[in-house]
Amino acid sequence: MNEEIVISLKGMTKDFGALKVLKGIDLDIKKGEVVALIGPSGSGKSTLIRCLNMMESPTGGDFYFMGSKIASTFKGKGDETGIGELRRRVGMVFQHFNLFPHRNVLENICMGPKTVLKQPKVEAEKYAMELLAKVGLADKHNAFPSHLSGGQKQRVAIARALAMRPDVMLFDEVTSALDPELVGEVLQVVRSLADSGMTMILVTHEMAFAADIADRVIFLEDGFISESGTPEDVLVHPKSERLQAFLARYHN
Amino acid sequence: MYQWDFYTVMQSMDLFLSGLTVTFTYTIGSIALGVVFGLLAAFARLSRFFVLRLLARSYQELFRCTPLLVQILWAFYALPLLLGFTISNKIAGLMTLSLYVGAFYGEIFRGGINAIDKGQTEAGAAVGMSNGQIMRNIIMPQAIKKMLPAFINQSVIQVKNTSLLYAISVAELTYMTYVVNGETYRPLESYTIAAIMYFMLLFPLTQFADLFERRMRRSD
Repeated sequence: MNEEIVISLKGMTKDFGALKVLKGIDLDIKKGEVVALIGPSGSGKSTLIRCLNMMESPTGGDFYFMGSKIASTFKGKGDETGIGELRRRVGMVFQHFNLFPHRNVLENICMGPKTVLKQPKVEAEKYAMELLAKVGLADKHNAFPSHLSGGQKQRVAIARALAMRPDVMLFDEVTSALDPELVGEVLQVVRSLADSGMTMILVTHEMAFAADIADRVIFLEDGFISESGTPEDVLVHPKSERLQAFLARYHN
Repeated sequence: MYQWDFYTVMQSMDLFLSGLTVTFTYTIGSIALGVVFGLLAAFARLSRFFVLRLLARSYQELFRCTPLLVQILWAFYALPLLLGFTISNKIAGLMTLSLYVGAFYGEIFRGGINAIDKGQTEAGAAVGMSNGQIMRNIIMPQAIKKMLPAFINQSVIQVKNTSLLYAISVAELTYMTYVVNGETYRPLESYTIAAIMYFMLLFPLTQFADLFERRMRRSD
C-alpha cells in the first residue's frame, strides 16, 4: 500500500514558444513521500511543480495521477482525469500567497469547499476552523488578508489548500517572499504536515529544511533531473560539479 | 438691464418635467443596455478567439472614434435607407446611445478585469474552480471596485449625452426646452432651467460616487 504511485510523469516536456524549459522528466512519486525540488533559477523546477496541477499544461509526455491519465480539458472524459478533478485533489501553495483580498480568512478557506465541493457553509466553516487552529491562527478567522503578516498569510494559504482535503500538496517556494524572521513559522506548519503523512512536493531554497523533511531530493538542471536520491546522497555527497557548485553557495 | 421673467416659463413646468422624465428614462435604459454591450465587448476582447476579439475591437473603435451626434443622425436618417424600413426616433436614439456607451464601458470593464493580479486566477484554479466560478467569485468582485470610478464618470457623461437626442426630436429635456423657448421666446430663462435640472440630476450622482469611492477605499 505504501508503494502506491500517486503521480507519474513519463517524458514530460514543456516549451514556452522556442524556449524549452522541461526537456523530458520521468518521475514517480509514492504515497506519503516528501520530495524536494532544488536547482538554480531557470532550471525548470517551478515549471515542473506547476505542471503537477496543470497550472501549466505540458507540451509533451504523459502525466498520470493515481494511475489515470490526465486529460487536457477541465472535465475528464472516459478513463481520463480532468484538470478540474486533478486540482481538487492536488493542493498548491504559492510564493506570493495569492489570498483573496476581498474575503476574510474564513471565507478564503471556505471558498473552494463551498463553490467546488458544494459543501454546506456550516460544514466548510467547521473544518476551516479546525485547520486554522492547526496552523495557529484560530483567532484570525475574521481578519482580512491585508491585516496579516506574510507568515500569517502563508499559513492561511496552506489552510485554504488543505480545506479541499487534497491527496497531494505542492509548495512553490512558499518562504521566498517572507521576511527571514517569518520563515520559521511557515516551515513549522509544512513540517507538521509532512509528519502527518501528506504526500508533498516542494520547490525550495531552504536546503537545511529540505535535508530535514524530504525523503527524496531532486536536483533539476537545464530542464532535466540531473541527480535524485536521499537528502544524504544529493545534499551531502553530490556527484556532479554543477550540484557541488550549486550547494556551495548555500554552505557559506 | 435684462428683465428676468421666470413666471412665463414656469407655466410650462409640466413640459420641463416630462422632458426630465424622458431624459431619465433614456439614461437608465441606455446604461442598462450599455452594460450588456460593454460586458459582451469586454469578454470578447479577453477571449482566446481572434475573430471575437476583432469583432469587439471593431465595434468599439467604430463607436468611440465617430461623434455621437453623427451616429444618432446616421441611425435615424441614413440607416433606414439601407434597411428599407424606417426606425422610430425612440429606437434609433436608445440603440445608438446604448451602443455608444457600451463601447466605452467595454474598455472600463476590460481594464478592471486586467488589473486583477494573475495570482488570483491561479489561486482559484488551484482549488479546482472553473473559469466561470473564478470570474464570479474572485475576479469580478475585485474588478468592480476598480471599475466603479470610471464607470460612474462615463455614466455621468451619458446623462448629458441624451441631450443630443433633441436632433431627432425625442422629447427629452433639451428638446422640451427648445419647445418651451419656441412658445415663450424666453431663451435665457428656458435654458437656465434646463441647465439647473441637469445639474440637480447629476450633482447628487457625482457626490454619491465620491462617497462610494471613499467607502470602497477604506475597506481595502
